[in-house]
Amino acid sequence: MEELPTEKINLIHKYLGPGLSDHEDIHFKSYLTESSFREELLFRTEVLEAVSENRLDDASQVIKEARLEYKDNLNDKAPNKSAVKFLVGGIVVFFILAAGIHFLMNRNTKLRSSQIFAENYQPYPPQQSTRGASLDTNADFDEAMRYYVAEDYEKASESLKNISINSDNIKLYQGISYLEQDNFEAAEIGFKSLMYSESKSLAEQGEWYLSLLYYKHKMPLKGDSVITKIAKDPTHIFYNRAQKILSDN
Amino acid sequence: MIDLVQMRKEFIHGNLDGLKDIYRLYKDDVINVIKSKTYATNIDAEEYFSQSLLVFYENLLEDKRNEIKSVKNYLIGICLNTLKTDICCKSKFKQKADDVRVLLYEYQQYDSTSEYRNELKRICRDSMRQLDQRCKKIICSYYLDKMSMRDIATNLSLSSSDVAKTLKSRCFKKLINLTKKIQSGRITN
Repeated sequence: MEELPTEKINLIHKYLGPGLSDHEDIHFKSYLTESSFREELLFRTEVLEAVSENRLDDASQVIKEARLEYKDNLNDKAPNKSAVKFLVGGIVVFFILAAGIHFLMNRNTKLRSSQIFAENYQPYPPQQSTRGASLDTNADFDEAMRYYVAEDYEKASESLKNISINSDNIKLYQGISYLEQDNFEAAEIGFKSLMYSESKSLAEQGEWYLSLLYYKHKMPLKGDSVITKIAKDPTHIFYNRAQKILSDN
Repeated sequence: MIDLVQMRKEFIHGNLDGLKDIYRLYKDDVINVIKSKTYATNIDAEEYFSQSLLVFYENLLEDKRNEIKSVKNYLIGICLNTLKTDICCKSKFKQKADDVRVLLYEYQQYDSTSEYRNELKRICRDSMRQLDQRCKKIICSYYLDKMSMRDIATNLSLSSSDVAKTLKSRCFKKLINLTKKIQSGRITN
């Protein structure tokens, strides 16, 4: 990684810390075109993310200890052996019942999620070369579409990565390819990034696939919250389907 | 009555015993409320309660004391909210990191895998261990808790916010260099 000038490093620090002023934000965005700047930004972000997660892990550890200490205290206060036996028996029965109910509820939720996904998911239809793009870009895009149609999403994803222009259209295909490969995190970020698209239609496609992604990954509450949002907007292209999902389920 | 100001101070200095006190004080009440208001099982309610403590911990560090009128109700609120949105507790900085990933997605630079990030987490733990206590506190206070330089100077008994600023840059540079060093060492090995 090449060393960045102090001015750029300071911008990254301010972005990750208290935030940038409008003026600084313009500079920051212009530097994003430089790969060394992007690399440094990503690295520093991930270092701080790691520090933050480690700190949270430490706090979790303390809470775990508190949990154990709490349980030990309860045990110490136990009055006599027969009462303890009775209590343990009760707890065992309770846990078996609770686990059974939990299992059944979980199974129903998972079934419902899978059902919604299966009934509503279809990959976004492939298209011809991107308009106004260079010949090289078209060739890469055509290749990606060939893999996409053949359902070889790993290769489609690789070919889409090679295209120098990352249009919103390409982001959508990339998101679908990740979704098909079960790369949940990358697909989620891809669909979320479409929310900033200038094309209303692509932004809405992104939102729709984001909801389906959550259902596929058994996160029905998150899926429902996106679907509810879609169902509130009569101009949304998936308005009717979202309404149907909510009324059926 | 819990003294949140004092508890926050203790958290900043790395003493997390307050979390244990809160656990003991409110565990039963919070879990009973959660179970009565939702279909959560005892095990789930206990999980939500533990998560709510983590959110409480991070929010107190960010000095959101005004939001906390009653610790018990605050924890119940977090639990119910978590149940509603089904979002597991992620560190606060995770949101910022996700923003950066969305930003870089534009440039096809979403490359880091979860294995890489787990490895980086281990490396960062090692490099943070090599920093002195003051450095650790400054990095966390500034980048994670968004504390002002003046507050950092007051909390760490530094003579001025300028001193805090210089120390912050020095400490973060040290952390980055140490991390890069350990990382390249592991790659060569």
